[in-house]
Amino acid sequence: MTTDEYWYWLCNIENVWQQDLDRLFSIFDSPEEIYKVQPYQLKELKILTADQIKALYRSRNEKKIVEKLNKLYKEGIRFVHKESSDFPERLKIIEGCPYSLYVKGQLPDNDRHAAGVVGARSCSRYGREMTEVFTKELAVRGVDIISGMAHGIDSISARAALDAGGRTFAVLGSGLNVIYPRENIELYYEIILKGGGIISEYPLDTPPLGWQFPHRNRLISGLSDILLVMEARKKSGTLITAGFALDQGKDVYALPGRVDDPLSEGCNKMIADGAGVLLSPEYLIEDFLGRYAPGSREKAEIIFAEDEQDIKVIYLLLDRDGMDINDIAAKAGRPLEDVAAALTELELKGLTKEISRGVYVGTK
Amino acid sequence: MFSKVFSADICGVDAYPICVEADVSGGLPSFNMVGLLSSEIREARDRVIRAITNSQIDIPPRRVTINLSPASLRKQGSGFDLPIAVALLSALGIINMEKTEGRLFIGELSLDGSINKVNGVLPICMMARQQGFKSVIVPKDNAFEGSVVNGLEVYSAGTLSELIESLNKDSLNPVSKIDLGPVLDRAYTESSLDYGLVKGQEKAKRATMVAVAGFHNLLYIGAPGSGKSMMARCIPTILNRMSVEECLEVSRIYSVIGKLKDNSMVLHRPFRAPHHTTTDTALIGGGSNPRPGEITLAHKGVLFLDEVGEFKRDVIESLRIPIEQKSIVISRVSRQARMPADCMLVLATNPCKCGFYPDRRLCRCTDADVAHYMSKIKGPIMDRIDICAGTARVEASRLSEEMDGMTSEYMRGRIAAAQSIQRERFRDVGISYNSQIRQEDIDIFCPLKDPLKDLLNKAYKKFNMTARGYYKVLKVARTIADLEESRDIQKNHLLEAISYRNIY
Ligand SMILES: [Zn+2]
Repeated sequence: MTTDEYWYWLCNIENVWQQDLDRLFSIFDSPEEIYKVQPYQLKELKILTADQIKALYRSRNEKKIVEKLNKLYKEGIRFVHKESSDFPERLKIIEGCPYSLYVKGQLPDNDRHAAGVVGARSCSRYGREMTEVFTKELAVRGVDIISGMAHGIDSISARAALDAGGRTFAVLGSGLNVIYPRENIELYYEIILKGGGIISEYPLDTPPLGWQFPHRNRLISGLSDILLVMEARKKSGTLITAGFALDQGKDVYALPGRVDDPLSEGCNKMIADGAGVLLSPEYLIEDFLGRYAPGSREKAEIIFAEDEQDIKVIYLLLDRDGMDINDIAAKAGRPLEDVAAALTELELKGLTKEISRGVYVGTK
Repeated sequence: MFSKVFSADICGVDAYPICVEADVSGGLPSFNMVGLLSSEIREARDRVIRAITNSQIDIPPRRVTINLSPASLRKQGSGFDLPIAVALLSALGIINMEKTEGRLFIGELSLDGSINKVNGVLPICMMARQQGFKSVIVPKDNAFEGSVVNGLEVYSAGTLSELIESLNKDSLNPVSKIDLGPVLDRAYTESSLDYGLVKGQEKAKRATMVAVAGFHNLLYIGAPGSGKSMMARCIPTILNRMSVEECLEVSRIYSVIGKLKDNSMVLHRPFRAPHHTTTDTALIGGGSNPRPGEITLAHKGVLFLDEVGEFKRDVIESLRIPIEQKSIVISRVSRQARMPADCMLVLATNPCKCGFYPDRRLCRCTDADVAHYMSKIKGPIMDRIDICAGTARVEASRLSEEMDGMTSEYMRGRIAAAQSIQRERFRDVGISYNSQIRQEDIDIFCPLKDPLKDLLNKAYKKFNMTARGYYKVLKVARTIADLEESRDIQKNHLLEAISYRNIY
């Protein structure tokens, strides 16, 4: 069998969960090794229950494994495991990184900015409108939007990203073929069609069980550079996600609300505790994208004139490694000739350097 | 008896009329040929005699002298068998002498009397029309080349005996004419290449569009596999359609070297990509009998030098004058060949030895390595380059079968509009493109408003530009303004033009 097939087998054994795999991998190096181990050896290790060991041996049917994996591919579903070259780099470093993912469409690019957007399922009009405004601002700058495709804020941000011509990714709390909530079926396919993807760590047909939702939220923050919390009650699942994000070292931004609005209670509390404030879309862009460009502090001091906002946007996209002008234009969503002109102007100001033809780094 | 008929020889890619005289007189039987002949032509004697006797014609034992004139020109062509035979046969009275008047004969003979295909029939026909010959007789297999020259009667013949009979009976086999216009139209739209199929290279495409619009020579810089040669290969898809005159001008070059496909002309603008091991003779032409080089074969099309740093330095430098003068002159003792070389020069180079600079994951070259690599393509040839474009490394996932970004058709449309603006501007000046603006005329055609002058001066200092580089930026900015259909050069046009400056 191939590495992919061994992985697929291991991740699809009945009642064998992630923590069981963690323990198995503390002893074995690869799924293949686990596949080939004798039952008495496993029993001696006392890692799995008798039932689990039984399930493990029952499932060792090469023909069936290959068949099932092929069926996945036929349905346009990719099976990606930790050893796959396209397994998201961002996830590899988080606590509780899943061993495998099921993907329909694309996975977020490792080197593209991504922002998670989460919030209450039943949100206010204010929450809805602000979600649209902030998401669009990010999406038009080429930032991938990650959400959970749940009711409310999640679906609104996914929709807003698509409308702005951006890419968005949904991490499900169920199997990929279980579209929940049902009315999001159109959104589901549009996400895929517009270059984004649907992602789940659960095998096909897994029903949307309550505990899985907060669990998958660690992937939403894990796949993102920053997390935007749009509206959250006190003690809500959204706050759990925010907690994951902080544990993962991601920056969390919360939308301020009225003091007497229970839907804003969670966010306001987070702000009090030191979360970033979603003051305005401009502020977010500067704070988030500005920071990833070199020397953000000095940069903040550079004063671009009123009529230089165009070149400022380009400047804020630059980094120290060097970016190809085609990518800069794609991220800025602007025609190449304009971006070329803007970069030349920045270069004349000494704010960028062309290190090789068409490759620009930010300076200062 | 004495007779004379006309034929032609090729020098470079041009044809010249040659007079073939035959004198048959009493005395010791002999067969002499005079008139500064190459050894190949001397061998014609035996072929002509065998071909005539094998056509069931007896040559009486007389003293035969053949003279090819003008005597000062060295003749090298292979098409003199037929005119020599015709001259001899009319001197012997076998062909009615009147029937050869005003006609030009060209063809090689087989020993059995059949008339073989020769190179250069097209330029010979073009010359014959220009010189007012009544008609040209060409080998049957070259008939197509005669069919495209209007205003000239062309006849074809398969064997010597057939020709003798049809000349005497006025029943020559005429070659019917073909209208190249519709053929060129059809060929123009059928190309498997399209910029729409080149992904993630919008900047390089834009630069290419600007280059073609103003006929600026172009350099691509990019990593191996970043699609430099694909970009170059697509250039002919955005050049305008060849006119019938251009088609003939190009086809005659290929006719001379025998590279015309059977029953066809060169219908697409040429794209020539000689390898970096090529010699200067192969590149610019030469040889004792001057043959066209790659630069002439690229006439009215694109000459692409990939990995330009790998070419020998003197090979590259040999291009400088022909690129500037759009023609190449090769002098030999007896004559001079002037061959056209009006092509767009497109170069490509890696950014460093390993090719991946500035990608730190893949390139370990030091700054000194990079500078050394760049210095290899510095020099006079870079002075001819107006636009330096970068090509991006594109991930495989971005290459697909679907069209993406600017398509060739779209770019063609923009270019055509920009070129018609230029034609209007230069109507009375004798040039066609912005790249041809002379330095002293820059202020007239590329005026800048004061703030933009300051901007360009700032760039001049900041980027250590040369005076030549300064003028190039202005010409390119003029082309960008034309592409944007703007009367004045705007700030963005100038800034974009600066971004194409030479960084070598
Ligand atoms: Zn290198």
